[in-house]
Amino acid sequence: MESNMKNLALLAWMVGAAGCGKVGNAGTDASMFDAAPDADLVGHARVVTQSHVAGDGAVAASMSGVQVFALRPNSSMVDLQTTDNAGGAALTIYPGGSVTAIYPHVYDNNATAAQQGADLVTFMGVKDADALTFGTRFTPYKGGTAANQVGTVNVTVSGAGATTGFVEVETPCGYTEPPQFTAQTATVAIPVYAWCNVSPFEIGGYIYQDAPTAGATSYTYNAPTLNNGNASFALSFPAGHAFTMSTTGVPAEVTSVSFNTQPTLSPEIFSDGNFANGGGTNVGGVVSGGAYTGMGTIYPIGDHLLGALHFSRAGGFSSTTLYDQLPTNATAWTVTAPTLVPWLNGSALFSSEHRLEWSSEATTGASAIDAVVVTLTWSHAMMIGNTNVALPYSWTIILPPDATSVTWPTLPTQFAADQPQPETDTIDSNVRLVEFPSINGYDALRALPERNIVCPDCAVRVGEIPRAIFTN
Amino acid sequence: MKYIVGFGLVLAVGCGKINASSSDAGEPDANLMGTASVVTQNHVAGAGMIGSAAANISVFSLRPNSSMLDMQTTDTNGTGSLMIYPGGSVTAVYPHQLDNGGTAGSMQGADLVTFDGVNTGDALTFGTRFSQPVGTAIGNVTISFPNEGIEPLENFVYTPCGERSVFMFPVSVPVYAWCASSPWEVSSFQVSFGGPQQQYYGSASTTLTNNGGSLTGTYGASHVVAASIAGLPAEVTSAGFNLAGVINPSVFGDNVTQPFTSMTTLGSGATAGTATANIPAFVNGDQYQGQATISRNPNFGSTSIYQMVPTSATTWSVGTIAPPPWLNGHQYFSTEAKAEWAIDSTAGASTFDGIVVVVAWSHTTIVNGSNITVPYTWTFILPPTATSVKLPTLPAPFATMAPLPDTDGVNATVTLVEFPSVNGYDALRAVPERDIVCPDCAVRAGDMTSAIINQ
Repeated sequence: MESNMKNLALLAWMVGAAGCGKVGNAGTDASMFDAAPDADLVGHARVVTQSHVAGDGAVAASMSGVQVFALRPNSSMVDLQTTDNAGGAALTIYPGGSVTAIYPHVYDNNATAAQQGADLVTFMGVKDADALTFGTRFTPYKGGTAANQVGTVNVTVSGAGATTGFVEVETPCGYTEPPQFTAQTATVAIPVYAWCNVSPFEIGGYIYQDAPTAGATSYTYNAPTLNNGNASFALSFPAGHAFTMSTTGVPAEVTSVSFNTQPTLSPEIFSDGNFANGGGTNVGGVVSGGAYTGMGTIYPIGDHLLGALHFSRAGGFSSTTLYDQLPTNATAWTVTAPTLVPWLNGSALFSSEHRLEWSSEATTGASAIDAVVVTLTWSHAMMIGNTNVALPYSWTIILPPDATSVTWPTLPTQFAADQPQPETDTIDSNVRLVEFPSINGYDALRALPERNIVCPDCAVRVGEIPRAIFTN
Repeated sequence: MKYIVGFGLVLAVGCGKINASSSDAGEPDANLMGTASVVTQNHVAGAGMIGSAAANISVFSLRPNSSMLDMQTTDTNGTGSLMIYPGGSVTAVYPHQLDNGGTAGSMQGADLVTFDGVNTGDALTFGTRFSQPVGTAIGNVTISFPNEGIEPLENFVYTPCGERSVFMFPVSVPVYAWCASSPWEVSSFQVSFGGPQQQYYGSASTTLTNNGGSLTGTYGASHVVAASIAGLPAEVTSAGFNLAGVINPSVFGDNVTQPFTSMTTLGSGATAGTATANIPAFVNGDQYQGQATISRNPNFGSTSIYQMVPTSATTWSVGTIAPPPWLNGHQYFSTEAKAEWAIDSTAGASTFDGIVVVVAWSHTTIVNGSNITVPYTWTFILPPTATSVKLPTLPAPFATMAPLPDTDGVNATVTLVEFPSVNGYDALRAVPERDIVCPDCAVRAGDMTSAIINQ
């Protein structure tokens, strides 16, 4: 009975705290209540850890040996586990508490052991029976030697009417710029490594003419199937076509919009070679009568287009962006009556209080959001011998949509060195309000892989989410 | 009932929040009143001389819930008496005069200034230092320094009437009523670009005759000023020292009280609570403004200590200081009309006298098809326990001045202020606004011997 009373009291406090919009794991919020959390209030969660940092392997690959722990709101430990060979673990959790995974880096400071930072990721406000999937998209380690090269793609660029000029080639393995081409052709051999050995191997190309028409540009695309990492082919040059971008029924407070579309290449690989350099289009301007229309030219290259529509308003508010995925042969992108998320109205990091606070304004017609994503980044500086060594850290905290502040948890003793140290570390922060129209609220959001929550545009780019809207 | 209100006030102070418009605390006690005397001095360009009485300035006092208690207009001497609510606020509103070419009406912004946490018996002096409009020349001074270096040369000439850049001397500088001081002091800084770059510094002064005259200066030899500071807390990671010549400190202008930096050096860091540096100095101006700046991790504001230093000094000992706490971030949340900040009080941190928050914004309006920008500032002087301030709702006559979050870009700065010669917030409110909001100006002008800020 007493325990039930405690539970009721705690529940009442949690509801009250949620109403206040504060998510506190330690310090001021939790310490306002002298009583410790109820030790009997437990639940269970399944955790999956996938790759998170360069050197872990492919994006979304299972990661074993990752430490995950559950904390109560007062930062006391409920459970600590290490994920198994399949990257799985069962964790006892405190409903309303948090679950954190810690991924040590691999390639910091020339991959020197003991000079590695870490990525920390925390889901706040967890509940019984949650299934949490950690892991994000990261730029793979691009190094490669002849020893681990798996093949070569030979590309011949010709035609497009150019006799001299330069060409850029973008591939899943990255960007390369062959030598100036003459006699209407240029060739380039692209080494293929395991991390980018994908079929189809999507290639985008860009030609800038010196002659016969100085300044003329052409875009090209091909997607050969690799044979053990090898292929030889020539690039072709499709014609560009007109592309109309329009939006109507824009909320009254929006003063201007801008559209950006870009072809993507092998989006399943997270790399700066995913976007063709050009072939898309950008337009933007002042909204009139809740509408805007612009025209551009795009080239049907890549496997699809990623469309970004940015909304801006006056005053001290961050812009909001809506992402859609479009087919490469699209001739128009129309966004009708977009329901935007509330406007982020500034954030402040009070590092000595371990607290980040933000404010948002929900104007008429604003949608609910699914979550708030807070990212802290910092570097520990340490002297090793006579050398200053910086250990980079990031801590991503996924919060319920009604949160307006977070006091980050005190890490368990064994991870204390991974805690941001305001006294010595310069800490940066970012706050993002995230809405997936296909996801209904924070409980559903926690069922998504972390990689989609923390990079909503990536989620749209790879086709795992049809539309994402978030503050910048 | 009074006791209940008093308890609420104590709680509010304990929370560190200054919430002038919150209605959560219930209605203030209508019987809890006091009186304060108010002096309004000039505040905006076009009003006249700094420190002179400004008549017909609207001043009003609010209870903590933004309800109006009293509003008065200051008399021809710039004085008034107000009923106040202890713990409430007193605000003065100074309309601008020279915005948008001086066009009257809606094209003029305003300066608003609020003393928060007032108490009965307060004597509040509003008015600040401001840059004077150029106006009409009433004389000229011809200035000459040697063209010392190898051409090409560039000379930076600092006078009470402003700063000028010239290639060769002599140069004729116009004199205006607001800068016709005697002695009329000049400093010059010459850089020669022919051959290895050389720098020359010199200063001179003259007594004006009929608001004009001539002046010939010479350059001085450099000397070293050994600067030191002690008592630095453990968290300090670096210290810097700066000496700048000050010219006619009683005149405030863009190029006069912004002292040109004649020499700077950065200390090699605080060791065992002490930092030292040798500053290569030239005699410049009638005295130096010394600024020692101590810093820690960039998550925190820097602390500056201002003192005056004789130009003949070869040593400058800032002394053993007890710096105020460190500002640890701030933000203005425009939709909530609230500025918030955090303060980290490390071991050995001193108390300080008050907090100055300056909120700045511009209304943009369209007049005859043209975009017109109307600038506003609102300065809040707050007790040192405050960690946020919510802008009160302005009384109806001034309602259009309030920042509009949907259209105005609003910025805020936060400064922790400590005057070693002033003991706490009650004493600070007796200091003229112009010294509180610009502590370094107060030291330059001789109103304060030392000032310490963190921002």
